[in-house]
Amino acid sequence: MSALARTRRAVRAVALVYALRALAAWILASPLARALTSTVAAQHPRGDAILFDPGGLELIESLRLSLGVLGSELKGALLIGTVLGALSVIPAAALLAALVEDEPSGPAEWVRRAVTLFPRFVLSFGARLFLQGAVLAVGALALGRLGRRLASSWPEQSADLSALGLGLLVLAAASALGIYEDLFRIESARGATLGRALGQAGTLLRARWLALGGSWLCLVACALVLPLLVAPLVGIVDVSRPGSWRLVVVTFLHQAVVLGMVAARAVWLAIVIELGSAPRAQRLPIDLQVPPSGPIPAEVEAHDTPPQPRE
Amino acid sequence: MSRLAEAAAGVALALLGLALTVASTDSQAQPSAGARPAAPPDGEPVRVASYRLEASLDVPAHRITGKGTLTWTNTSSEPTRELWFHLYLNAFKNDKTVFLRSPFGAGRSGDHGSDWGYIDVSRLVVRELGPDDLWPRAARHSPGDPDDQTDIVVPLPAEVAPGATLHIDFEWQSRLPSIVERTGYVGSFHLLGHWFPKLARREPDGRWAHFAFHPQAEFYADFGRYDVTLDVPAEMVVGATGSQLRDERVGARRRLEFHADAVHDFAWTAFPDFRERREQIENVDVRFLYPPGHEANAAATVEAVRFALPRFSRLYGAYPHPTLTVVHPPEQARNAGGMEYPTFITTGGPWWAASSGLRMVEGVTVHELGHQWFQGVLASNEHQWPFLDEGLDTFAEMRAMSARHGAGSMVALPGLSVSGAAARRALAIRAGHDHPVAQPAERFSSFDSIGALVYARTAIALETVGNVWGHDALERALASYTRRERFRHPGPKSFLEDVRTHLGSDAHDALSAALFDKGWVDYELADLDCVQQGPARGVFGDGAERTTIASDGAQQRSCRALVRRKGTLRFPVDVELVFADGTRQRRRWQASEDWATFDAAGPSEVVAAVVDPDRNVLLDENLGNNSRRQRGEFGHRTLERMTYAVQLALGLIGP
Repeated sequence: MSALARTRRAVRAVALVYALRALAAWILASPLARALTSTVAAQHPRGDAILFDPGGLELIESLRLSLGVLGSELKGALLIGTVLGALSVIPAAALLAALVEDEPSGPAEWVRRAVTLFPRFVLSFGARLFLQGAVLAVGALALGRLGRRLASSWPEQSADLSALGLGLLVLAAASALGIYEDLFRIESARGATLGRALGQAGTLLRARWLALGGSWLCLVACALVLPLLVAPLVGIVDVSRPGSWRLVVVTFLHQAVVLGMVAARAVWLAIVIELGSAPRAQRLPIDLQVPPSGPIPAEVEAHDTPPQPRE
Repeated sequence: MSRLAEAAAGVALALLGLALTVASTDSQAQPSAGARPAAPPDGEPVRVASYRLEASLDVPAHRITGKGTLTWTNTSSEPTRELWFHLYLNAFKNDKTVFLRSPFGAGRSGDHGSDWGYIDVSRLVVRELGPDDLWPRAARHSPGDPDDQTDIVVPLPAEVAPGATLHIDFEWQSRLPSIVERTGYVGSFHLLGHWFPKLARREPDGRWAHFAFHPQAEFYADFGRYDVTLDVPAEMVVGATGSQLRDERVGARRRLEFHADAVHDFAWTAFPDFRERREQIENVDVRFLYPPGHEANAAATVEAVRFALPRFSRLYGAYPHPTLTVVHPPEQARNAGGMEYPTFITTGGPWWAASSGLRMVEGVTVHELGHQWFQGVLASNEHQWPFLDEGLDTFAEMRAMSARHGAGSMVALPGLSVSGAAARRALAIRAGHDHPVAQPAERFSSFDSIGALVYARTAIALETVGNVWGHDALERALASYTRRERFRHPGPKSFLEDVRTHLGSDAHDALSAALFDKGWVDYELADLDCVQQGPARGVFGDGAERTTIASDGAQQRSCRALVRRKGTLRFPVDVELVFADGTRQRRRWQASEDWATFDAAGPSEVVAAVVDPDRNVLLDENLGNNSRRQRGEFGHRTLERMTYAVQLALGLIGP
């Protein structure tokens, strides 16, 4: 398959993942948005533009008045979010299938593969979230205690920066679990058995931790920088002012961020796939596949020069 | 002093004591001859209680040993046979004191501290009343409270006539607590408030305004001169009330002399790691002390003072002192932050606060600076009327921050700004029915309640009055009150009369009800309805004169908006009608009645209406019922923003 075809397929897969994530987010956000706007904005002549007014008077009032409804809607959203979270492994698996496949394939094939991988991916997703939660909880607890100790004996700035550094280490540990899960899923998408996928992911993480960590950091930087870049632009456009074009522009900016982040993740997965396949598929300058019997091709024979005798 | 001189002095004192003992059996003694002092000119303080203090700080023991002389004049119209002293450091002596006995938190910080503090007076002699040490005759505890020793009466052997002046010599030792709030130590940082025995204020009618140190209350005292000599380890950087006159190194110690006039308290701080910055602002020598690493906070603090000091001087009368000391305590001592003493304030916040987008450091600085007028210069009774200090000051701070930063006066993040008024309104409305705002501090159910009512609701009530009747007029009222009542310990009536004078009786009545009577209001756009209406149609007349008029198609839309006012407060408001063709029409409603209708007829129907469209009445309990439209709108902007937020969250945790 040509590089161009691979790229096209990856773009289609990214678009699929983005679209499904947008759908899931819309499903989760709709009741919350309705709850928040039902109190002050729904009956106001300016609609929910007032919630974005500078100063936050109407926003705070809406939050105050809708706190109860928002609470129950949030509980519902958590329930739906759990289901959607489990289902979201399907587009994620489809993306992986599209990236690891050597043969030409389309969305139907990716989804078929994704459904096959669904039980394993759901398990790995749940386990990863649980372990990350545990790491973060233990880390926060330890950091809290250590932070208090540092604060009482170190200069304030040094204590805070040290605690921040240690916090980043905890985050790195939690991120390592995410990287491991990605490696595991890549191996699974390649058809490895459960045990082999687990083992191979661990081996690769140990062997290529620097390259993996570096590219993971690039992904994290992208996820942080994109929203921060767009936030001031959104502020300038200011949807509290009249003009529906403002909402269109803001939507475009925000969705560009999300799409960029999905694409960045796809790039990250492609890099990991490349890193994972590099040791196993040594590229040779010529095709050495020759029939077991028969003459050696002339160009091979010419290339394979006999050793020179030592002097 | 020679032995002969000592003997002569002893005889003289004994004779004086005998004479006074005899005199005390008479109805009234007249020490220091007592005609009442003439009233000072407007804006000049009466120096009633002046202190000359000498104190030495033992840093490892967190102990102060001191002696001093209090010069006090009985400016009331009544004689007295007692003196009341506030020993507020005893509030931290054990967990049975008025301040600490509640297990649910101590004062503003809510924290109980980890080390006890107390103050022991060892000697108290009134020169005019003989050589006897009067302290052994002092009460052992606060009135009616055997567990508290913060409010102590000392009986006198003779009456002190109105106008008489006493010279009271005393010695004491204080042990500082770990920082609970306002006073104490953390490591080598020391903040010293309430560190010496302090006389309560005697009201003009002869009542002593004395109170045990309550966790929700603040202070009240007379003006005077303070001449204070502090002896501290040489490495200490010291900041204090007033002007520093001398700084002399004596071996491993330093002796510093401070002088402050027209103040009612003296506080100081000592910390070896302070960095220092000095600025001349409006002829005031402003000294900023801050811990290492807080350079950004110090810069923000300087800017805040540069803005607010001239503003407050212009609005509330010139700052009357030559110095101001602004202290940013280290973060471990954060409970020492956000406090005001005359010419000495503390701010606070972690080292990164100034760069966080939350205007924490600036807000606290401006707030504490505002106290220099409402607590420092006016010096109203904070125990009795906390809103006169904290409430008016919160309003002054809110206006100043808004003038400087606009809508993002409290939070300014990309895409999100929160004003001080919006944040405080949420607090104020929530607690609006709990207590009256204008009542003594100890009557509030909790400090949260004080925060919501005394601080926030007072400020929101004033903001509402200003929005409705004009901020210029309100500023004139405040200017009149703060200038006339300089150094005079005013009460609420004085302030409210200024409101009446400059904003009218309606404003006075509304503000008075909001402060004293739990006044509330809720405006509602109760109904919006439109019908077709045109020239008369149908059958008219009888017999030969009967005619039938059919519709000629020139129908009009006749619309009616029904607005209601619930509650006890009345503010005139606008009612805005929005027509289908995009035009808007505003009408004024005085709101003197409980409801009113607003009619509009024309080719274009009213599609929406809103009462108080400019949100002037921040005391309005519910802004959710202020508007109505013919067709409700789904919040597309909100949905977009929430969808984006969920998308980011899914990206963060998703597979």
